[in-house]
Amino acid sequence: MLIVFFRAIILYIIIIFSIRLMGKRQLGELQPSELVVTILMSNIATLPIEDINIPMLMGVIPIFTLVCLDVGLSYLTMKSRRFRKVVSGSPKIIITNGKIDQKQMKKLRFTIDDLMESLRSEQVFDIAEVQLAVVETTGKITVYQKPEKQPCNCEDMGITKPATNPPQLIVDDGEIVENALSYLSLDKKWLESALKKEKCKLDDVFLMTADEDKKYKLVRREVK
Amino acid sequence: MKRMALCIGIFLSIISVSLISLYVLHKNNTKIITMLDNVIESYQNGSDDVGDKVDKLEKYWEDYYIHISFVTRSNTLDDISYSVDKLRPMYEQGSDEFVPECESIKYRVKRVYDSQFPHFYSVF
Repeated sequence: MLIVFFRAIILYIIIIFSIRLMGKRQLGELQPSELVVTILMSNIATLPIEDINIPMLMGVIPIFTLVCLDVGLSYLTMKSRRFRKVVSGSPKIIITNGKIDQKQMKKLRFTIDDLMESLRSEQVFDIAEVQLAVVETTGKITVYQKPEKQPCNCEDMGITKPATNPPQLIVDDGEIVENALSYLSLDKKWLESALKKEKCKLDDVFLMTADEDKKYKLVRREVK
Repeated sequence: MKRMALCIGIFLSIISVSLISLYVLHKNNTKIITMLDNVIESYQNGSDDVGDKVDKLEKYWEDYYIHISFVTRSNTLDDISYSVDKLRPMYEQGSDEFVPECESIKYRVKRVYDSQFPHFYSVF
């Protein structure tokens, strides 16, 4: 039992390290090669945990081999567009100016239900509203609506607004987020004075956000 | 680029570890097979040192088991361990099965190496 326990801990650490090694790309939408690695990794990792007759190296070596191959492959796809096309495929247009490309849909083995579901998830309920719909290499559909159906923005209304960054989290559960403070060009002195003004100790802060204009929002901790 | 370098390092380490383990496996297998051949030869010649040689073999296998268990399924190794442990009592009882048991251990030890060597048939 203890062998399984220790193996589970070691493999957990190895998998976390492997996923970090594969980079942030892996955590978002999966490309075909990344999907393969993820599925294989999860299966391989369980083998030495389930069966203590299998040496742990037999689980660790294929995991690291797959991760190294994946990183190598993503490096090559970054360098060569042709290689990228072979490995990941290329985006395909399935709707142009409200007209569905049925041939392309057949090629992609996309059903009408798949298409309608994807459009609905993009808040589009009428195909006629679509100027362009593209099936990305991850299988996700990206929709560009016709100009008259697009939501109105500041530019359309002739309103000019200064570009501002959203507020940053500067205190997380009583702990100062140094990176956010320096990003906003603020310092601990400013934070201390703001807390003093609010008559609140740092330990009592549940969360605190601030923006570049030094406007802040403080939420006190309810239960300690 | 750092990530790529790290991956190349890991990849080369995996290849090195695999090759070294194969070399160690081959070296130790050859030694065990030689030891078994000596045991069989001494036994067939009616020599007095068979018992000592069996003891040495047992000791060598015990140490080797720990190293080899990193790369081979433990149930395969356990089978060999049972056979090695049986040799001494078999010799003392003058069993007819002593030599066949030694040959069987030799075969299984060879199989351990063969199962790790990347033959065309084992890869595919």
